[in-house]
Amino acid sequence: MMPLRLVRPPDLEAAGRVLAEHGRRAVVRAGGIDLLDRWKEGIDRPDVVVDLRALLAGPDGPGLASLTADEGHLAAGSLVTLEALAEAELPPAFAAVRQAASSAANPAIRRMATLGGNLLQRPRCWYFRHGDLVCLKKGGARCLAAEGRNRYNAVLGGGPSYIVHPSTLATALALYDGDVMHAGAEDPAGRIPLADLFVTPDRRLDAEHALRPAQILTAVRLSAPPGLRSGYDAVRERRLYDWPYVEAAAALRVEGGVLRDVRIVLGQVAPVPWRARAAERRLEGAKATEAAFAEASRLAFEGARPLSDNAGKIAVGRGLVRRLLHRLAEIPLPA
Amino acid sequence: MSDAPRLSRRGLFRTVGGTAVLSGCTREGGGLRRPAHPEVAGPDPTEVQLVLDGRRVRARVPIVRTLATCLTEDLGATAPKVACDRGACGACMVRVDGRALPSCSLLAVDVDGRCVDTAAHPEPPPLLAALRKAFVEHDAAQCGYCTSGMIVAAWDLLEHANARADLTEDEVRRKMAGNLCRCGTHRAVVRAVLAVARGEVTAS
Amino acid sequence: MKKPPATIDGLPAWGPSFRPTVVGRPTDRIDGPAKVAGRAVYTTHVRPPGLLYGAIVRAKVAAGIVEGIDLSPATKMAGVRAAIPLAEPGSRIRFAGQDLAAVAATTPEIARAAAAAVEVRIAPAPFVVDLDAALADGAPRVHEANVAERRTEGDDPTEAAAKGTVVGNVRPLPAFVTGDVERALDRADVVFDATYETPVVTHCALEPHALTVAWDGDDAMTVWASTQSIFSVRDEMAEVFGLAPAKVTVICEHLGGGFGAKFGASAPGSRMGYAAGALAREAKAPVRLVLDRREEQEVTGHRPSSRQRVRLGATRDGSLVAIDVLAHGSAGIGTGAGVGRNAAHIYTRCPNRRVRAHDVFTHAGPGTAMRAPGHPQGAFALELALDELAAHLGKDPLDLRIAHDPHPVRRKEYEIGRERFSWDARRAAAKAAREEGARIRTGAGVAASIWGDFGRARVARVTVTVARDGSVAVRNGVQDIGGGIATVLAQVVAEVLHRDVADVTVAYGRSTLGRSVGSGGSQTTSSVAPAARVAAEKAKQALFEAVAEAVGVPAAAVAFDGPSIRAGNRVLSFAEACAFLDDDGIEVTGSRGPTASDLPFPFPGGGRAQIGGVQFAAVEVDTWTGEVRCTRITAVHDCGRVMNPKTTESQVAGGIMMGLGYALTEIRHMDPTTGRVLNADLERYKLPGFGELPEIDVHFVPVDTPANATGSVGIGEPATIPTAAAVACAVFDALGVAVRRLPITPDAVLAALSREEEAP
Ligand SMILES: Cc1cc2nc3c(=O)[nH]c(=O)nc-3n(C[C@H](O)[C@H](O)[C@H](O)COP(=O)(O)OP(=O)(O)OC[C@H]3O[C@@H](n4cnc5c(N)ncnc54)[C@H](O)[C@@H]3O)c2cc1C
Ligand code: SF4
Ligand code: FES
Ligand code: FES
Repeated sequence: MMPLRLVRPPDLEAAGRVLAEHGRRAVVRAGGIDLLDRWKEGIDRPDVVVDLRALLAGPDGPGLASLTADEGHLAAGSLVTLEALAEAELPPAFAAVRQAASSAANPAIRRMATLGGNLLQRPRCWYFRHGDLVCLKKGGARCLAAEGRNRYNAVLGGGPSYIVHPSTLATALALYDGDVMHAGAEDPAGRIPLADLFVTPDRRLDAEHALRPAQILTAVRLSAPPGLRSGYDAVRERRLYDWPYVEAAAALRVEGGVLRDVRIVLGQVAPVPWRARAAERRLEGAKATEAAFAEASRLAFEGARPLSDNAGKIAVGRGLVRRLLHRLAEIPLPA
Repeated sequence: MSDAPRLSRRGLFRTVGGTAVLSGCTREGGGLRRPAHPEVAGPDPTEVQLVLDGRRVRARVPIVRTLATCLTEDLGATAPKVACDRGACGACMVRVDGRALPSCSLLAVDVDGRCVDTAAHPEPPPLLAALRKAFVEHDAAQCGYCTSGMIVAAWDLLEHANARADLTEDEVRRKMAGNLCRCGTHRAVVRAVLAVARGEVTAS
Repeated sequence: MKKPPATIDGLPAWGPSFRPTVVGRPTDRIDGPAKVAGRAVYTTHVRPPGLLYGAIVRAKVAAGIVEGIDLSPATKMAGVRAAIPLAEPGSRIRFAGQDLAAVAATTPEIARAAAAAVEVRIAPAPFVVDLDAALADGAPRVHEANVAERRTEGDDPTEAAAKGTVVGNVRPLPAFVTGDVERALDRADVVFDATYETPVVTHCALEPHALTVAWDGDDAMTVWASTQSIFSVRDEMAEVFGLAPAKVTVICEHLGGGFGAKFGASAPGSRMGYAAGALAREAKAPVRLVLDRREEQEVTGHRPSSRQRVRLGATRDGSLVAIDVLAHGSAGIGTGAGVGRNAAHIYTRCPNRRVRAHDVFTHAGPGTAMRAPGHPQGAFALELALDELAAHLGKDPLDLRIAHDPHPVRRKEYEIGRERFSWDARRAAAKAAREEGARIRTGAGVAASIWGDFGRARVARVTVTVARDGSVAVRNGVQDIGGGIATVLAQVVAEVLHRDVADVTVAYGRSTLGRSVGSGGSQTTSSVAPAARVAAEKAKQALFEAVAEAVGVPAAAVAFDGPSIRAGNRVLSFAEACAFLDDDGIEVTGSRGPTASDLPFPFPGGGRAQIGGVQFAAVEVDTWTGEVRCTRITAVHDCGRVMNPKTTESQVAGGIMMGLGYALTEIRHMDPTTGRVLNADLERYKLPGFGELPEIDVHFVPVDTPANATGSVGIGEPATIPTAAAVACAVFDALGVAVRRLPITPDAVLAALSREEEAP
């Protein structure tokens, strides 16, 4: 009835071969949560599914499942689960990663969801996820969100599609310099800078990342300057388990009374994890004060262009960034 | 004891934890063949064998059949309930090799050769037995449709808690957050789970 | 009907001097062990041999005319056993999700694929899904003619039927008017005028609508149904298929929630009963039809939306002189967008009151009764308006309520709550934080509920049996929605026959066990429990007569003495006494008579008691992010005699959780361009969860209601009426500015605050 083949390759090389052979008719499956959701909704019906979890039993398993970290580095295989990231005792530089991982989705989903799958999951725009509706991202002519209901869509960087990037983990990872390692028949040991992984809809509509269909994300490697602290926080409509309404991650160092290496990333507001560069510039080399944080949080949404229903993200996001900066720099929050 | 990976803050790139998505049957696993992992399954229906609530069972399933459908329709399980079919509500939760997972978001072929435990286990281990008692005493099941999933989530949470007796209400809420209930049993569920954590309700 | 009756249904009332030993004690629910052990079998899990799986083909557009339906692509598929049309060329489509056809197949996957394969041609037509668009001149009309109301047992039975004609997409509901509101507003010192909005929310029972039909020959069937009303399913299936009702056996052993959406064999927007029955007949095999979450959210009913303009008139010293509510709301293609009774019937010391509500039709699935239909909407608008007025007048909102509410029990409840909740201290703290401009604010609010004793006479027939071996059983065809009626049945019988609850076997959830009521209107307990008492008292009488005859004393000399029976000077155990029965034992059936009293205070219209109930809410608000957390709810309710405090408290806690979802998280999002529900799932439709759970303090005020033989009254619905209103009032207290639209999301809080900053 529904022809579907599940291929369980012994190693990455075999996986790459199968993918190359079937082209766009084949996809990889990691935790499989996003893939199965899309299957059920009828959005994606591949013929061949390459089950990456089968690799865990083979020679590439240890690498794909390893998680290592020290003060300035973090390396995670693509099959590391969100639960493992959430329960790991990471150094302060990578606290944002742990906090993001431990607040995404719910405990059982985190147990299945993988780092690679989380980063490469497809958007949650409700038009995209509706099997009966065809929008720009699914080959249609119009962005239905732009003219319809867009409470959860982008206020920054959107157009022609106004998705927000769904990955909570991506929001945290975008704080760091790093690389994404990938395998596949063409380029078995490739890498691209993490900063180039996510692409905006003006460049690509069929995916939200720069990998090609036959490429397998194998690991992410991050680095952090000494003394960095980081944190992640989100505002949710349902407090303990919900897709964030807005999320933010930040990292900074305090050196001689001033802030250094400030990074601020906003999540669920743009088609990619969004670096709030104007805010970062405002704080770089500045003293950590209530006034500086208030101003930086305003600047964080510089250039925002809300659609009909989502201007609220700006005000909420500003408050969120401001609160996060206070916590990170240990400047007491007003009562 | 938790088996969470512990990472050292010192030392260069010391690998201290690996992760397997689905690993290690905690109970009952002895004697079961390990997953055959045929290289290709489908497109024709394929046979899966598993230990369900301590009994060996088998079913022939299409590749796209979810574990939830296989359990309830092929194997007659009464505990898992499908309320969202998207991993969003927890009502279908079962334990696979000792960890709670949403059975609607797994395929039946994923559990070939594994142990699946539901809330209906006929010989409940002590934690499960205690939870059942506590749920009745605290009236944590109203319509009861979410209850099997709640109990599986609570079972997982208690079994893997670092220091069970010190479990806080906040931790219970966080760990149970993926389980939805429309009847509003939340308060009773928190009380029941804490009662078991603190040894106020035991199996015997 | 003021005086308490001497006897009720021929029995002495369980009045103030009655000292129960079983009834009124916290009792574990008898179905608990099966539910916690995952053994309880729900309709979704029933598997008669040869079972086929059904699926419904639904319209993907919100309006249009069906041009053709081709079932053949489905019938050609391997594994498909039946396919039937549910619409025909020329049928009008009025909402996305409307039934078009149905299929049955050997596996659920094939059934879904077959449904997707059915080819449907529809000529689309313009549609409207939002209130403003539907009200606009020249809006596409949803209904061409007047609309029949679809009333269910979930509706307030005392509500008048709507007779108004449809103009455009608007149909007036019966108005309530007392006094002269316009005149009073003209003369008032202060007039407060504001508009409030509530969203469409859905019942969202975790068990979806589900039905399995197995024919037994041509003239009989067994139906397993996930239903709040076994007998309405039976009668509907009998009517649809031309069968004698007695030939339709309906079974609902365990029910995974309903909240008003599960009356009858059909879901409000889908003819499930017909579809399953017709498929099963065609396939000659049992067919199960279970809706998925998208269908649940799109076609199985919802609480209608509302937009309410509230005008309040008052004197400068704080006397209300006018309450005026003008409401428009949409139940989609359905009816029933009323706003309950808070405005009309609680603050009756205000002499001039008027409520005018209207159904506004839109091209969306039909709304239906949802837990206290109309009331949560109306409570939110009116109670928040009262608080805004009180702030304007510099009055304490609690005092304002007490001053205008004559209900003696509710007045007491306000006072009890004031103490338990530390109202005065919380209000003072909120004021201080507000005046300081603190980042984190707290707030306190209170709101009231009104409900009636809708217990029904002569519907429920409860049978009690006592066997020669001393075993006691009770049976009735009622379904247990999770309210715990099965346990109450056991308690009542145990009480009368001096047994333990565990000694009484209860059979329920099947139409062959004796007629019963639907679980709507909070009427189950007050309809069924008194019937059980009547039956149990008859059984007791029959037992005493048998003992009297055997021992040779007059029947009047037989009485219970603890668990034993004293006959003259002999003392027998219960089992010894039962041994005097003949082989057939005792089998007696009881039902209850009309409501005997409206004490302590009448419900509008009279003839029945009015149930009160007040809830206090405390919130914490982060004024930077707009996050609102409800930290405490103090709920003070009355429901006559509390039969089982354990399950009753659970119902109240559950009503509160549902109210918190209404206040903070839930809203159905509908797309104006495609007419589809955008969040027809459990991810973006946000049921409240463990993070929303506040401290909940439930307190019952025992009330002696000689309304029926057990003095019990329902509580399921009143428990959810005031919650969202109280939370909204508390948010207003915290911010000093009201959020007049539900749900109160972070962005709505910040928008309200910024509006206030902008104001001069
Ligand atoms: C109820 C619910 C709530 C959720 N809430 C959140 C949330 O708050 N925050 C959040 O971030 N996410 C959330 N999610 C999404 C969830 O985290 C993702 O679905 C999950 O992380 C995907 O991981 P996976 O391993 O299951 O991916 P899969 O489903 O296996 O894969 C996802 C996609 O990535 C591709 N892919 C996977 N691995 C690789 C690889 N190594 N190389 C190349 N391509 C690959 C697959 O082909 C597929 O297209 C939620 C999901 C649910 C069901
Ligand atoms: S935002 Fe993107 S996914 Fe959503 S409707 Fe527009 S084009 Fe489609
Ligand atoms: S049914 Fe599986 S999580 Fe909801
Ligand atoms: S008890 Fe009914 S859904 Fe939880």
